[in-house]
Amino acid sequence: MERDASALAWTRVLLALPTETGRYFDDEFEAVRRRIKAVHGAPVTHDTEPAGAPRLRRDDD
Amino acid sequence: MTEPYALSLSEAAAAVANRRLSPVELLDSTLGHIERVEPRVLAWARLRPEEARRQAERLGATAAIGPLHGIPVGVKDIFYTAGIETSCGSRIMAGFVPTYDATTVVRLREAGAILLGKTHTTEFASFDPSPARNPWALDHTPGGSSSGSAAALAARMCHGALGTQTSGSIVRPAAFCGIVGLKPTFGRVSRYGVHPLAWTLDHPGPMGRTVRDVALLLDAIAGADPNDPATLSAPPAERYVLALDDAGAGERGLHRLRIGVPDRYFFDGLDIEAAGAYRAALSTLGELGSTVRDVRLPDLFEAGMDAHDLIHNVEAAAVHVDRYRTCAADYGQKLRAFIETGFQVPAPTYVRAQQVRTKLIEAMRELFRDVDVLATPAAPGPAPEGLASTGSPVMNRPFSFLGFPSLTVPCGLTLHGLPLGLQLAGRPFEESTILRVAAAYEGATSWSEAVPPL
Repeated sequence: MERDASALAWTRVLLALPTETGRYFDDEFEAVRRRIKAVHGAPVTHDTEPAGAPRLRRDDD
Repeated sequence: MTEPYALSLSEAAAAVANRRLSPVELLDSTLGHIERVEPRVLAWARLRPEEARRQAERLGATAAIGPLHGIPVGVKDIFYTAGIETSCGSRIMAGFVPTYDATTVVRLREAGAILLGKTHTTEFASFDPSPARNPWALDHTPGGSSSGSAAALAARMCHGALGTQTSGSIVRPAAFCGIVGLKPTFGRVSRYGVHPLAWTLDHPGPMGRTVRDVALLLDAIAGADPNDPATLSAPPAERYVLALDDAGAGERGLHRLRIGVPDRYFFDGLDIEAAGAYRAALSTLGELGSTVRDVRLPDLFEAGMDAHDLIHNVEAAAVHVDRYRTCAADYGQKLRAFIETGFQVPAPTYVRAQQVRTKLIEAMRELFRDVDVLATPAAPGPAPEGLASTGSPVMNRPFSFLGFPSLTVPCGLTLHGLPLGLQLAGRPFEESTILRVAAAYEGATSWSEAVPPL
């Protein structure tokens, strides 16, 4: 799958990244594409809280 | 008589405590050995012999201040050290001198340890290798990212060390270098003052030559830290050395302990000699009284590993985005690719990956109802030849993703004399269980006594 130049440009502008960002590393982008597909194919329900949610405690604990 | 530098941490600590050895004698012996072997191993980013000697003299003149009194240690160069350059294996950070110590460094000092120096790390604890070499074969990688800590310990250049693991960066180099490395449960050891690689995956942990050494170090560094919220929701730390000393532990062996052997994943591409050493280790664990049984990993396991890599990707990009704007060319090629791909992972994908993580943690908690410990190979094989790569973290990545504790203990040598490791993983906050199993295994074998041919 070709990388979307407009998506790359969007990220580059929003994050003020160097102009060459996203032009290289085809193999790595391909690996990431495969991983994204795998993760979205995993069975996860809406009531699944993402890991990394806040760990709260009372101030006097 | 054994030279002081060659003593394990536990032996050296006992000798210092009994005044059979002074901190200065121990340090001088260690520094002398460093002078002989460091030019070949290149484990140290920077050494501080003068400061270490002054500290040894001070400690020699006082009563023991803690269980690590007078023990020379190395600290991976991503742990902040007040007044000591911390360059994170990166030219971008060259000359950076923190004004404070990482919590773990404070705790080592409070336990009486002497900070001998900073050990080499791969660039920002990621992929681009450090100069460190494997003491068992200098043309082989020591693994990474805690490369220098593992190499320095194996080469007897320090008695204990700190490393960090985000994928496999404690357990893999420890296995490649024939030492013991423990990745604690997420939240067991403070991350404060450690340069992040990926906040929700980073685990600081101890490395040593023996299981007991690692337990002593974990005793010193574990516990709640107001500066790291993950440690505040954790149960109180145990006394890990006491767990090893538990009366009758030796006699009971590993009776009633159930050891799980996963049905897949950990055997893909496993080197034949590593597979043989692993099978032999399982037999030994059985002979020690444990029940070794097969377990089926959850269906979600492999998707979890993809989720790990994406979370790692995105968080690393977030850590580096500000510096990347101005210093992109100063990053190594592998980290640069990692950061750039991290920028392109959609936000919903990151959240989904964290949901997959929740699901896999639930499923693995369920699996750990049937077993107390999982045993796997610590790496796909021995340390690979060459210094351009630090080897694969696939065996260790699952436990970094889950946050469950894991360790490696030496379990063999290849025909070419390279170490192999046995990985043991346990339930959250049950470090004492995996330490106990590792200690029993270590006591029944002699692999931890092997010394590199330097």
